Amino acid sequence: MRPLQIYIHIPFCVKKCAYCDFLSFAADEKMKRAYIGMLLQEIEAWQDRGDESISTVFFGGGTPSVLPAEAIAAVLEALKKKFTFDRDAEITVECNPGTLTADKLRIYRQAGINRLSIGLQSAQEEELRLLGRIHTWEDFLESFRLARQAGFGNINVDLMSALPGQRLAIWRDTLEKVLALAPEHISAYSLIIEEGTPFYGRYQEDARRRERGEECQILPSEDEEREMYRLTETLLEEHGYARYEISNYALPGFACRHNCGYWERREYKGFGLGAASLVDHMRFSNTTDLHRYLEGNWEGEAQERLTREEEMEETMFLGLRMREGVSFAHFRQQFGVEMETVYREVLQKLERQGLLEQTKETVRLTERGTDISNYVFAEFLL
Amino acid sequence: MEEPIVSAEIMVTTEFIGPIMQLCEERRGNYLGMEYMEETRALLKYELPLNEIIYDFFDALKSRSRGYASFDYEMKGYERSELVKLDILVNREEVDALSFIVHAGTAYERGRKMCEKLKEEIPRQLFEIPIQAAIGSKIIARETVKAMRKDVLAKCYGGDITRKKKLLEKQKEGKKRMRQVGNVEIPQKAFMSVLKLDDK
Repeated sequence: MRPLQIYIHIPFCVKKCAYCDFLSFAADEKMKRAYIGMLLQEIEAWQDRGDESISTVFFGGGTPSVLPAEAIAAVLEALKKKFTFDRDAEITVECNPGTLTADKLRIYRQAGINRLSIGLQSAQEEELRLLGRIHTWEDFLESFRLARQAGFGNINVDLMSALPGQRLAIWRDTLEKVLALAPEHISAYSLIIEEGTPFYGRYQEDARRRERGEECQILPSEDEEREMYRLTETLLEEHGYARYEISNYALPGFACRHNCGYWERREYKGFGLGAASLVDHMRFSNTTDLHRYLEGNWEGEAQERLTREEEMEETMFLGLRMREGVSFAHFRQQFGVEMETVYREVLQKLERQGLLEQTKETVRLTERGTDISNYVFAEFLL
Repeated sequence: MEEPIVSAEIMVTTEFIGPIMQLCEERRGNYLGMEYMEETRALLKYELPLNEIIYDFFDALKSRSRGYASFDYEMKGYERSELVKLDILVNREEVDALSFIVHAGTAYERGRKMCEKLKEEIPRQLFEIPIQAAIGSKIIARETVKAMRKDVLAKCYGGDITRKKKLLEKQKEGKKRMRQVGNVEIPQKAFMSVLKLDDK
């Protein structure tokens, strides 16, 4: 049986947050019902290879928890009917604290959901308002409590640093408040000012200044942003969390297997609006046009068949995101050739520049390499 | 030291006489006189150092007269002048292509502007890059391009991968179009931009 991961996209939100450039929007009940109906059809229609066993399922968005719990349960059931599942498959639902109830959580548990990812972003009320979040810190505390009560033993909390006006001490406060709850997993991202969002209009100028290394008016400076990153590492490690990827931390045994699949280049099939897939050496995504999707035209643009070289490149720039890096054995196994042979000069140069470190088994980013990982990754393009 | 001087005649519509005279003054022009050709057109006569008109004088003339001015000149001869060689050092290495002969009086201004322009055009790299303007061994202006501090993509999940790859490819392409000067990568357009310092 070969492993396959499943991603389900739920593009609906109560309201769009000011920084968000994901494929998500508010919609009425009729629209949501139609979408779920089409999603189920898409799942049914997909020609699988017949020998897969599902290792992970991830409901992402948008806000999957904005749907009635029965809708999530129905999709999961359709997947279970179609596919064989690993006994210990990891099944995650992304949630927003403003949308969780004890009932919903109970139904999730019954359906077989065993992991929750809750979007908190910040423990500070002013920051939550600034971000345009629909919940308060208290809402989150309540949601977290209900989740534990419902029996969830694998919870992730999403956090964001380098917010406008945020200082190191405030970020520390958010971290400490969350650590006190002891979630199994924490994702801590640095805010990115994305085009097409309200934050872009407000902070783009400042973001440009920061890129040039100049003084900023409201965004934390480059140095402060890196300090926040270092603080996250230190504080979380003190509390027993291991940083296993650039932005992801987990207690032993609780790394997110679904996401590791992306960086380790395991196969995954995405269902829903704009969902991406990597199957049979091909990357492709569904259409991002909701009307087309609802008409049953799920396909997006042409699929791209990856060349062997492209797969080597991906193995490096995705694998190096993991703290443990890329193992020479894995590379040899995948491609039948030594990493050293393909990348001798690149590896030497990056090591000389203090951006990569090698052990007998692996190559991985150094601290400085992590700070400028994009520069490192570009070097691996053939 | 001596420098070549030209006699120039500039035809301009009367409303732009002021801005054009200002331009010539800026370029160390020596005013000889003015004739009115018609009610709305005048002929300005100036002597100008060839050095000052050789790069972007014509562009500046056109832009300050909304395209209406025209310009004609002929060599007059050589005159004594206080000229100096302005060198540009990037990461402490002299960049030959950017050396200029300039009048001593404008050297500081020119040097400062060139350093500022280069600082804008040269992308941040793995180390700090000092940009200096020098006359002989004397540094007369300096800017610094700070070392790259952060260049990270915080999130990279399934749907992000294709876009991420495109970004990395663009980054790699951009590097190819750079000129290597010592350890520093300088984009081609940085060299051109330094010549067009009159851009307002």
